[in-house]
Amino acid sequence: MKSLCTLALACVLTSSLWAAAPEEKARTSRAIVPKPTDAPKVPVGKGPDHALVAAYERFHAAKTSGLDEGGRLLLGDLNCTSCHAVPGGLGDWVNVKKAPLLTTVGDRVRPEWIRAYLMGPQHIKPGTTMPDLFVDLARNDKIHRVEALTHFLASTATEAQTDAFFDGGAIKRGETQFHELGCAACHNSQKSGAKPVPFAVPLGVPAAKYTHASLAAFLRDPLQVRPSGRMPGLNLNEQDASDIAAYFLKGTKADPNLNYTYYEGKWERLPKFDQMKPVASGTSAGFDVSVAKQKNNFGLRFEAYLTLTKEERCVFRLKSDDGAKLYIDDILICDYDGIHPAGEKEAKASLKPGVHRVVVEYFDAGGQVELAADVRFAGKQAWQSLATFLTLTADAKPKSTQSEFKIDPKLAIEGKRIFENSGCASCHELKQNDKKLASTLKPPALKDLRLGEGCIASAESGKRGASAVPRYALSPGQQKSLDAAITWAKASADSKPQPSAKQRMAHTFAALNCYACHQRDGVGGVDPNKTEDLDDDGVPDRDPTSELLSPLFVGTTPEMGDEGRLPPRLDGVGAKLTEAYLKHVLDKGSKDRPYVKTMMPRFGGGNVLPLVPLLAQLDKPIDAKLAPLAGPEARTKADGRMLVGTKGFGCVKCHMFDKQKAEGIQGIDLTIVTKRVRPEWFVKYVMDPQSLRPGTRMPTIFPSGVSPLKETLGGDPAQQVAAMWSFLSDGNKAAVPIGVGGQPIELVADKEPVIYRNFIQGAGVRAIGVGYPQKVNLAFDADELRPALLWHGAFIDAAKHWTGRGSGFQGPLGDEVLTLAPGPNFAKLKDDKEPWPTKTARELGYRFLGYTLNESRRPIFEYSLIGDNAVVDDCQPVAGKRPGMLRKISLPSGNAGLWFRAAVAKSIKPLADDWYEIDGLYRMRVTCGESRPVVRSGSQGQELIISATATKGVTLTQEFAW
Amino acid sequence: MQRLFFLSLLLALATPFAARAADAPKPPAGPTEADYYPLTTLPLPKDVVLEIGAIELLPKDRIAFSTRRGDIYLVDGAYDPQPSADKLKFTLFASGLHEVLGLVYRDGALYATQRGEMTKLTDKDGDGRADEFRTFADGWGINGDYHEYAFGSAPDKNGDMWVVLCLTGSFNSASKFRGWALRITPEGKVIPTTSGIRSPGGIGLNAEGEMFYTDNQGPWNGSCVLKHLVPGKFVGHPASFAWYGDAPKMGKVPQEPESGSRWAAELKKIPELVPPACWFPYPKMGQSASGIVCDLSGGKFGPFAEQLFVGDQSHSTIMRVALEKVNGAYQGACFPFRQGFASGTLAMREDAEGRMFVGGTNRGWGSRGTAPFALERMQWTGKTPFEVHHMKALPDGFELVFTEPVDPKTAGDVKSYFMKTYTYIYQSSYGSPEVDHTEPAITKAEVSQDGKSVRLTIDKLVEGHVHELTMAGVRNQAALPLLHAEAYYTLNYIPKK
Repeated sequence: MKSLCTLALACVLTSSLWAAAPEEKARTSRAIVPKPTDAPKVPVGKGPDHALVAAYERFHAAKTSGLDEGGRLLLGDLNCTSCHAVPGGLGDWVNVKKAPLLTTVGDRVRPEWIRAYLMGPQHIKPGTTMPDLFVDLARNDKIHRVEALTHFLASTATEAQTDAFFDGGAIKRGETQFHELGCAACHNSQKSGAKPVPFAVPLGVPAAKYTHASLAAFLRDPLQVRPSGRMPGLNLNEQDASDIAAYFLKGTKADPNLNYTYYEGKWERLPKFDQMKPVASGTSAGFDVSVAKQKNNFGLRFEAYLTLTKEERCVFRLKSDDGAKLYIDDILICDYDGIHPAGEKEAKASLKPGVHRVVVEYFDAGGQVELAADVRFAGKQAWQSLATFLTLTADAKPKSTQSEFKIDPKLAIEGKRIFENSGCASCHELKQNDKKLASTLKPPALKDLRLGEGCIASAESGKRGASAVPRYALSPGQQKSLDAAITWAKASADSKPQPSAKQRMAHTFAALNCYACHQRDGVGGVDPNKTEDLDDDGVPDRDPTSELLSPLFVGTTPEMGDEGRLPPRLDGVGAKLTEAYLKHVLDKGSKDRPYVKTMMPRFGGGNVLPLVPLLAQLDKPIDAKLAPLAGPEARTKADGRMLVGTKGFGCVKCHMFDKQKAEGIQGIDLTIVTKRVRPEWFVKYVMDPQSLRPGTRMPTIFPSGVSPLKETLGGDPAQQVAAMWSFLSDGNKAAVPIGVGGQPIELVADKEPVIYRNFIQGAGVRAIGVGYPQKVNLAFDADELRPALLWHGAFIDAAKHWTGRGSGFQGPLGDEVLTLAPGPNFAKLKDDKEPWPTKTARELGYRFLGYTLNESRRPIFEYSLIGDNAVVDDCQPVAGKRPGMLRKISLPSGNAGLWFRAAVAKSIKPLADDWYEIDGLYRMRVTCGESRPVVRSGSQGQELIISATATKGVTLTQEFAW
Repeated sequence: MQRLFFLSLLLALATPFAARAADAPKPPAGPTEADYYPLTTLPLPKDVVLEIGAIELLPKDRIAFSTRRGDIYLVDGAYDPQPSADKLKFTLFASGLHEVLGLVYRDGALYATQRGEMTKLTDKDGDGRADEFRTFADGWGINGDYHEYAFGSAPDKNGDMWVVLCLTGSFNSASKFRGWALRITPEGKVIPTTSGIRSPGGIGLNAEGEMFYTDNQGPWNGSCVLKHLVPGKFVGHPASFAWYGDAPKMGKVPQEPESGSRWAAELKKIPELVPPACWFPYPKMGQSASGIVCDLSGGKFGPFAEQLFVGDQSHSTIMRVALEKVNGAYQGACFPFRQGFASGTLAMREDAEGRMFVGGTNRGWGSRGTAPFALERMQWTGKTPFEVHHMKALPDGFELVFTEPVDPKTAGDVKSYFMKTYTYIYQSSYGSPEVDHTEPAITKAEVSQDGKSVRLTIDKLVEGHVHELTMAGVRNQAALPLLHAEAYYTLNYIPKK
């Protein structure tokens, strides 16, 4: 790898030069203004035919009275008040949604999309709150203005973006994250067949709007360009944002940027492709294994060029099934050769600036087909497909997504003027040289508006007024609601009372769509158990909204039920969380419930912090108090530690402790509890969990108000609760209580063998582990009737199965683990040419009969093949510095045609005295009367078989040494 | 921070919350459970981890305990009136088995139900340790999921031992016969018997020899519950339907229940569906129903002969269940019985003298009893507690039969009682809150001549609902309240007469 550093540098292209350089923009003075028919087709999204404001659709659309409340929501979310000045004193009644900031919109949105969107926002992104522009102008005039605006907005770009490539893994991960992290709570499931949610916020077609990089950047910090928190930040890391962006851009078809040659054949390792004649060759977009002409048994060699402008420290990663290798400039960087299931291998390399030839070789030998080659540059978190940076030829640049669109500076200047005088600048902030462009439009104040006229009137109504007004696409209900709100605003505007705390809270909850996840005061959220007789037939019906939304929320622990997957109800949250923590959660987001997959996003301080005093004011304080500690603080903390641990109330059995997992479910980390909740809430909750969270599985630890732990703090529950609080107040500095973090439970064969029947990795679900005092160990697979593993040294650690619920597979604790022949060891064959059967022992009619312990307590296994006579399989340790194993198998008579398969391996080499070397790992010898072993090719490599036919009882021996 | 609270605190409240606790009965006044059913802790040797999964009685006053770690211990001296470490003798009969939750002694051998098989263990050479481990039956699947427990029963009247198999997780049956009860004949033949199981906590026979098991709150189980296992029938969780093809004698696959419905509605549609014999309302009675034992001591365990005693692992309690048959199906009431076991109650066993051995573990699942594992013995003192002995459904109310004569004035006053009813949503998602609440009026309370029973007239009963009865005002002739004033009757059917 060191030799790479000495690679010559050849090219001086810098990454910023991959973008269209500024002088290039200036040179192309003659813009081609496309007619609408010439414009590249932009895919159209799905959604309603009017502006969609989630809380309006969910709570107000069907209303027939009290329309002004929904209208005020629209006044804020349609940003009406940005143009139409609000009468004094009404500010607190309207929660204004600031339009997206457009200062660098050219960096994140494709110009083709801007153009199409401006021509018909509702057409391109149904449901958008953006109004239609220039509806009263002649079509050609509109087209011209849109074009000018497009050039102006595109000219805000500071750098061009390149297309990215992503493998199926990124798309799949992105799909999972989108559907689990909570995106779907507002946007609905994007999977095919998902039930439509009438108030889901439409997404348009992100692939048409964004590049992969710009969408990922937006997802990482949406508040940066959409400051009003309607799209909150999910605190995504670089990888998750990249994956979700990949999921949305999955359909984009990139231009080919790799050369490939294609081969057919069956190999166990990568062959020398350069010495073979390819079956086909061509170019592909990314590492695309679908260019193969057959499903399995093929090879591919991809070749392309990587141009670096500076020295880069990279980590490369191959993910493949089966083998793959990555070469850069003919040096093998990453070797993941051989037949293996889907997996990954990483390798580091430093590359000099210049052009590098990249070759990825891959082969498949049956089963699943997978290949991805990724790179992570120093200082970056996210893996990106290596293909993103590759080109077909050494002198090409990676393709720019904006290469088709040339900015016309004259048009851009005209566009700027239109931006200022058509109202764009009223809603959208766009700064040039740090100065916000001012709107020159002077619309009437809200109190002077005439109902049903102007920007909410249709083009045909004749009530449009001045011809420059935009047009909002509204449903008839929204029209009425807005009318009601405007009427309300006009009436005695100056003497309006301020909204109550509850109203202000509810306005914020509605505007920010908190109700998508949370219920408060019976409004919003998901309540799958809510039933109501909706059709008056005497049978309770499910709440249809909850039915729709419920599947959008998932948890990690199905057995926690709804408590384990739904975001919490927020009734009383102001009396539960401390002020500081409530601020933290709203402003910064949080992920405190390990079992709920969704996380609390970040809404931006200015949008949500006013909620903190409101909630504290609205929610009745809990009538409980922390008892003053009766004893010295240090001693009480020690008592608290004991009570929290498994010798006390065992809180740590179900709650995480400083990120360490609990043995059962993973409840909220105890070390953040005192930071999160108010002490009086803690007291009451621990005393009586059901009183604060009805239906919770948090158990009562003081049945009848009595503590079962009489010895500690005089058995006084109030003192015990106070002690736990005091201890937990130390947060992650608190000493770890008993029961946190597993201790190994090593099983040791001292004088006689130790048996361990359990789930053993590599030996199945009905495994019988045997540790022998000779320090050699065996795992017998009682399903397949075979010794599955042999190993030296320590036997096994039972902690995995003996400290938790007993789930999962435990592998050997010792070393030098041998994996022996799979499947049943015995089969009836016609001759030594017939392939070994692929059926399981059970399918072949074989039965495990059990074992007896001999005088030294060594298990001797018994099983039947066909017929009732038992095969007796005695595995005996062979003592020594490197102990071996001798297997003596007594066969009943009448086994005509029975064969024994002693080994399945990549290589079986004969040695002296009938020994064989298996895969270079161990030596094995097998004897059976006069029979001679046969080495042959099988489906999984080489096989060593021997005839076990016997007219009368015969003993077969198999010896292992390693 | 901590100091600030000190300053702002005026008065310490001692335990002001108990009275409001939703699931806690009133603080004990007068006699307590321990006055009638004291517990004796059996001390364990230091190196013995006795997470008891099953208990079996052996000849010569020996008791066999199997454990979740896969050991089987034979214990002498467990009947000693004052057991102490030096009187108890532990012999490790077998080890290395896979989580043994069923143990039967028959013809000199022990039959142990492991996760993957039932094994016959024999001590051939008579040294007190098993040396032959024969696979007796292994006709079911496992795949490594911790949920895939197997609980084994005592033999039924045909000599068949039943094995009840937890699903793979809560929702699926990924391995053969997961979610089924199987019968293992004395020859070791496996007969798939009842489908619809979710997550059992124990299995046992009632006095008539019928098999019951406990199932736990989760999908298709609104709360923890006691269910009757009837050959050929279905007890509620449809994931088990996957294996009807391997169970030809079970007939056709039952109709899939409709998620979101109620048991009463589905019982009318699905003929194979057996109603739950008794709900244990969550979390009032418990949160994790476990072992089942029937009092067959003929009165030596007190006045509740032939009733069922059911553990709750989470609450570390034993509950009492008195069933009757209405419309051909078992139903009845559960009552709190004894709390305060040292660890999470899992397996129980009663001997002919009415001594009940109770094994506890809280590994993987927390419990009120804080010990990681425990072995306790519960006995009756001979004093009769004032309790509702059983509760019998009538067409228009309930008859309450008490363990001793009541005070006619309080017991005859309708204001001494309060009743509410509710049921659970029968659904594929996890658990259910109590739904469809009613508060029927108690219009009459008539005390019988002998004072031992009270006939309550209710306006009106609701079929398919749990009828929760609180009897706070009822007194006996010594003016004492009931030891437990709550009863929860699962009224699947209202008797016609």
